[in-house]
Amino acid sequence: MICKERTQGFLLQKQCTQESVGECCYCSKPICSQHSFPVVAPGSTTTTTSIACPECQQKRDPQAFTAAQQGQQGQWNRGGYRDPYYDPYYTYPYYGSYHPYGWGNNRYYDNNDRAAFNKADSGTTGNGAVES
Amino acid sequence: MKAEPDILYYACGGGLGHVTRAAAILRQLPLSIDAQVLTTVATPYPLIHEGIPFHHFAEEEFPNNSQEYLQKINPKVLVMDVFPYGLHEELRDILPSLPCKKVFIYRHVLAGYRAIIDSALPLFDLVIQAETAEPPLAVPAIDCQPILLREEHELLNRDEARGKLEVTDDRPVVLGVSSGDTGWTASFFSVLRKALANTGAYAQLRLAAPEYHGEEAIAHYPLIELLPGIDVLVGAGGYNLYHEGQACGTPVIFLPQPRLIDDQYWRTRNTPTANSPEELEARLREALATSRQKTHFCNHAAKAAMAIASFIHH
Repeated sequence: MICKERTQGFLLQKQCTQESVGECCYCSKPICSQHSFPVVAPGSTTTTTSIACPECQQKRDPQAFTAAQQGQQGQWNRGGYRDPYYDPYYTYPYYGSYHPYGWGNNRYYDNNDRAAFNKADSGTTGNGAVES
Repeated sequence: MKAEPDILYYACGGGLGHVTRAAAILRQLPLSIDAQVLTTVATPYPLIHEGIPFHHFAEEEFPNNSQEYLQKINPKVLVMDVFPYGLHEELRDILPSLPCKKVFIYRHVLAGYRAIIDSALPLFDLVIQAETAEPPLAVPAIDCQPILLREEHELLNRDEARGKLEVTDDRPVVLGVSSGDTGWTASFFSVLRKALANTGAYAQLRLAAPEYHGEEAIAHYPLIELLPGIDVLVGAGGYNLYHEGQACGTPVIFLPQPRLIDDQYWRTRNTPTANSPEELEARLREALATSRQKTHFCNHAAKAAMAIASFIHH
C-alpha cells in the first residue's frame, strides 16, 4: 500500500510514492517510514507503541512535531544539496535495490532513524523497555 | 477450548519469542498428545501456521482470567515459558497447589529477575534450559539449547531460498527482521535502507515484519527456512533471531533493544552489534565482506518435546 501523505510543493501538494509501513493510529491513514512518528499507542496501558501521521502528530503534540521538523530541515540542508529523503519533489528512482545510483551514496540519518538505537525512545515509554 | 488437555503451554509476554518457542516444541509432539497454548499475543503467527490450538487473553483481563482458566481447564502438564509465576505473577498463589506436572523453560533474563526464577524452580518437576544460565541454575536441568522452529533437513537450499526471496542474480541479500512494535519497525527499516545505500554495496534488501507489506517485504513462514539464502541478517537481539542466525552460520548484525525481562545486550555481547546508524553502516560493510561460516546446525526442540511428553501416560 502506498503512503497517503501529501507533501507540500510550490503550488500543489504531491502524493508521497513510498510504500507504507503501517497506519496512523489516530486516523488510520497508511504512512511510510519517512512520514511516520513513533508514538505511544492511544489508550495503551502497556508499553506498546504505534505510529502517527504528520497531521495528527502536529495536532496532538505540536512541540514535538516542530522539533522533529527542524531536525529534518537541518539534515535536508547538510552538504549543500537536497537530500532526496526530505525533498518533496524527489521520486525514489530505484526503490528496493541499492546499487550506487547517480546522485551518490550520502543519505543522512534523521531522528526517526536514530530512534532505532535510542534506548530512551526506542518505541517505548518509562524506562525505555518493552515487556518480553 | 477442550478441557483437560495433555499439555497447556503458558506462552505470555511481549514479542513473538514465547509463542515461537511454544510452536517449536509442540510441533515435535506425537499427534496423539493434545497440547494447547495460553498467550497474550493477539496474533500468534507461529501457532497459527503450525496449527497449534491457542487461547488468547488481552493483557488487561489477563491475571484473574488466566487463574480461572487454568483451574477450569486442568491440564495434565503445565509448561511455563520463562515467567515462573506467570507474566504478572498471577499464578504465585495457585501454582503450588495445582495437581498437574509442571515444566519450566529457562531463557536468559536480566539479573534482577533471577532471584524470582531461582526461588520458584523447586516447584517444577522438570526444568528445560533453552539458553545458557549465568550464574548456573541451582537445580538440575535438561540442556536443550537452542530450541528452533525447524530441523536442518527442513531448511531450503540456497537456490530455493533465493527463489523465494525473488533474487534472480548473484547479488548478496541483506534481510532486516523485526517482530517489534510498528514504531520501532519503521525506524529500523528506514535506517537500514539508508545505511545499506551508504555502503554503496551491490546488494539486495529484503525486509520482514508481521504487518509490513512494502516493496522489499517477504512473507515466508518460518524465516529460518530462508537463512541459507541470506548473506547478512539484521535485527534486534531476541532469542529466535540470535539462535537461528548462529545455527545457520549466517552473518548477523544486532541492534540490541532494552526489554523489561529479556537481556538482549547479554545475548549479543560476543557478536557484531550496532548502536548508531554509522556503526550499522560499518558493520554492514564488514558483514558483506564476510563469507558464511560452516556451522554445526543444532536444534533441541524435539529433545524438549520428548522430555515434556514423558509425563503423559495414555
